[in-house]
Amino acid sequence: MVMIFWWVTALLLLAALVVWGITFWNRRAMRRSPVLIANSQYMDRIPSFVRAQRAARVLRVLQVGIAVLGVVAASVLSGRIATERIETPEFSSRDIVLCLDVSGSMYEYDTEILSTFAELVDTFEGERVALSIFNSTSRTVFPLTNDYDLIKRELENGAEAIDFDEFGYRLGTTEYSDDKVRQYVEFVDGTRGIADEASIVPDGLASCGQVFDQADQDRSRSIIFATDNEVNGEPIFTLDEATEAIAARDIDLYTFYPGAYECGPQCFEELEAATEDQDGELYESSDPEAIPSIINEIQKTQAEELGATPTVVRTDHPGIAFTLTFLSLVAILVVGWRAR
Amino acid sequence: MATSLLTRVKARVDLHTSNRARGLIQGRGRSLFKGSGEDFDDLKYYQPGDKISDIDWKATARSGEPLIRQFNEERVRHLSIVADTSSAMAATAADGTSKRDAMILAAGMICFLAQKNGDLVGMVAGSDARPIQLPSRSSDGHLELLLRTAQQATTTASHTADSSWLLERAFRVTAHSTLMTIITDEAHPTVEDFTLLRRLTTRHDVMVVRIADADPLQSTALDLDVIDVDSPREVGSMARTSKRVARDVAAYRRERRDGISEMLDRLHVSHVLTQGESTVVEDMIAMLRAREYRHAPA
Repeated sequence: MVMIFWWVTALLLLAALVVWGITFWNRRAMRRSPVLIANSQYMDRIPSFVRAQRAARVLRVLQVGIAVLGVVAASVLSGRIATERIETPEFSSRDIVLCLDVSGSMYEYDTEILSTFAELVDTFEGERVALSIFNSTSRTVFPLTNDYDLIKRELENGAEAIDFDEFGYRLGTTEYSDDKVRQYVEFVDGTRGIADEASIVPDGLASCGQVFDQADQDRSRSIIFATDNEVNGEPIFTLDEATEAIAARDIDLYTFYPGAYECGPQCFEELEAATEDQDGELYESSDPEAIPSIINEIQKTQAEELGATPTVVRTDHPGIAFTLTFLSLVAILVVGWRAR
Repeated sequence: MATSLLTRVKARVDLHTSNRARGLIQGRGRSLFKGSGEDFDDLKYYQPGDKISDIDWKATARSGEPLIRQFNEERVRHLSIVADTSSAMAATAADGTSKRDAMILAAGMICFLAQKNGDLVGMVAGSDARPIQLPSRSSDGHLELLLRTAQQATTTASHTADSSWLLERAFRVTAHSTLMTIITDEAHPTVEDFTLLRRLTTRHDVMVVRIADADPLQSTALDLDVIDVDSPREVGSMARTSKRVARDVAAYRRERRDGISEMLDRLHVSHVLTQGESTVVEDMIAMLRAREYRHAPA
């Protein structure tokens, strides 16, 4: 809460004080000589007179109070009370696609990414988010949208659904309730279009690149791409082709690599090379807990890239002061009329 | 220096008095002041310089020598004025004039009548802290001094009204039997002063001139403050315009006024309640007339 024109408020209050002071010192001078009367002490014993005097006193106190309130409220209103927010307005033209490998090896990381993003949604202002998951085939859970209620709901549902150790379940080492199993199956439904293949990473990335719309508009586009790059099958694209296609459409790529599962270092090297060849960023961490900070990092990097100098956005809050001023004016009129 | 107060009072009395009333006053004024002094003493031979009008024609016819009636010293009557010079008398009267001016006019009228008859006038006024007492004298200068003293003693800074002290004082310091005119306002003498007043009436012939107070609400002059000289409190316009308050205040004042009037009637004291400077002369003449009839055989 700040006052933009605090000095106006100060000046008005000072002026009010000065006016009050002047009238206070001259209050006798402004009056004409009074009517002198005598033998009126008995009036204090007349109940109706005492009542009227008391009512007049209450009314006077009320009048003064309301006047003070009105002056203060008007001064505060003139001072423009506002909240300040540091904002990078360019973010509002940002499109983010979460592109998640939902193969069994990735479940912990996916959960973390989704829940982190579900929390981040609260700070979004106009950014659009999409979620695309892939295994052997790709499924768009929701397209680019700024319906944050939907995004949050879907991300939270997804985070919960994907928290499923499929290998452990198949091996019988981990038990899940039927509901949980159904939720998982429903979530990953459509990502196993090709039997006996898994984690067709280049195709998944390429289809994530297709999620972006409004190609004619100048928007910031980025993919947060989480995969261990362990391809089991025959992809249509190579990883390089996929990243090139993405780069050709001015899409920034942020790759998250959780560490090797079955594949050796060549999987990581391929991913790193493919990413960095297209000026993408690669983050590596085997700790799921590191994901929030990585996503923050991505946000920051993106802010720098966008040249989004943070600006101070002030939002006026005239409501209370305005209402008070208005009400006190009405009250002054009403009370003033009553006191006549 | 402005014209003397006595001259001004005379002008006012002349202005206000009809021919008939003037005659009433001027016919040596006797009829107005029955009751005190004027003891017939003796007849004596006329000496040059005596008043022709004092010649007793019947006795002259009987004796063949001009004889004049001689009165003893008691012929010179004593008048006294008991003036309430409290701050209340510096306030506004019911007709909007100053109560003090009305009081001066009332006192001036007594002086005027006394001057016509060569009567002596004394005055008792002031307060416990600053008592005022003027001896009985008849000179014009004395009468003027008397009026000026009363006028100057009555300011808003004066003492608060204390009628019992004033009556007590008047009883103690006035040795002669006098025709005593008490000039005060509508709230005085209070009904508690009954005993003091009765004691005064045993020695003096008492008249009371009461000057009515202005309406303490002044509901038609709201742009002016109303200040009580003794208790300067602010009276809000709400109280001043309230019909209920006006009714209650009027009822209280009427009751107080009637209570005092009834007390004075019971003491057979002539009294008058006048609205202020504009009516005091007529009202006093009416009162003096009524006194005349009071003494007339029924």
